[in-house]
Amino acid sequence: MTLTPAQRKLVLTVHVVTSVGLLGAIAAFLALAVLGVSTADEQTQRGVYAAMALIARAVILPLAFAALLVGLVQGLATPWGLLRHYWVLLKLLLTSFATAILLIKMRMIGDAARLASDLTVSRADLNSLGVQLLVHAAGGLAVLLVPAVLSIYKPAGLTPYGFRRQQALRARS
Amino acid sequence: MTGPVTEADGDRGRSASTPGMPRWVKVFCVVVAGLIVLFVALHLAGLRPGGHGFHGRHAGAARTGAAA
Repeated sequence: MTLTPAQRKLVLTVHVVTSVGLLGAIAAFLALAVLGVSTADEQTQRGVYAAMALIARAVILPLAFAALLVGLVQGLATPWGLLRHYWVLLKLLLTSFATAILLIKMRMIGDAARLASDLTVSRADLNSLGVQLLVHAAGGLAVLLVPAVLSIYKPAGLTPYGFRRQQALRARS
Repeated sequence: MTGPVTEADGDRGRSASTPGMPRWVKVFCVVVAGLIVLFVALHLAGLRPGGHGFHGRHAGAARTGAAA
């Protein structure tokens, strides 16, 4: 299945919006994580973790899946392919990795929100969890910046599979 | 913007042999491998962010509380 130029533009638009939106949502999540570990106000800290859980569940997770799925469509339905160019392949691997880590960490994020609402949980324990959330948010942002850079620069490099396809196309023409 | 497979894309294809991995990919793989080694070393040394045990100690309580 190959997309028409108009369909390609639509798919590209959706992919860019979801991918950049995901970066923004993670940046917001990171800002809250920083507030969570740095604030001296206990109420603020407890509220921050509830907000982080909401952002993760309602924004980050859907955008991560949307960016990944639309990216798959773009790869499969355009001449770029998924496995022909190193920059596309690395984008796929990095986005899949970040989404997998997010899924694994959703429980921790949800637990942080529930524990923050439990006043018997000490600030020290909340701080400990907050540091983990901060590190994961920073790491996720760093990982997902790489696909954004690759998308713009599109560095040269055919995979062995892409090279074989190129040779086959040239032999046919 | 470089095109897809139909164009040369830096691998001019004058020879029939498969082009080698570009330098930027090799550098990327080395950096990722280094980060993985660093991550594993830190975990083995017990230097996890936020310290040990909090999540295990309290996660059960969180889920029990949610079920109640």
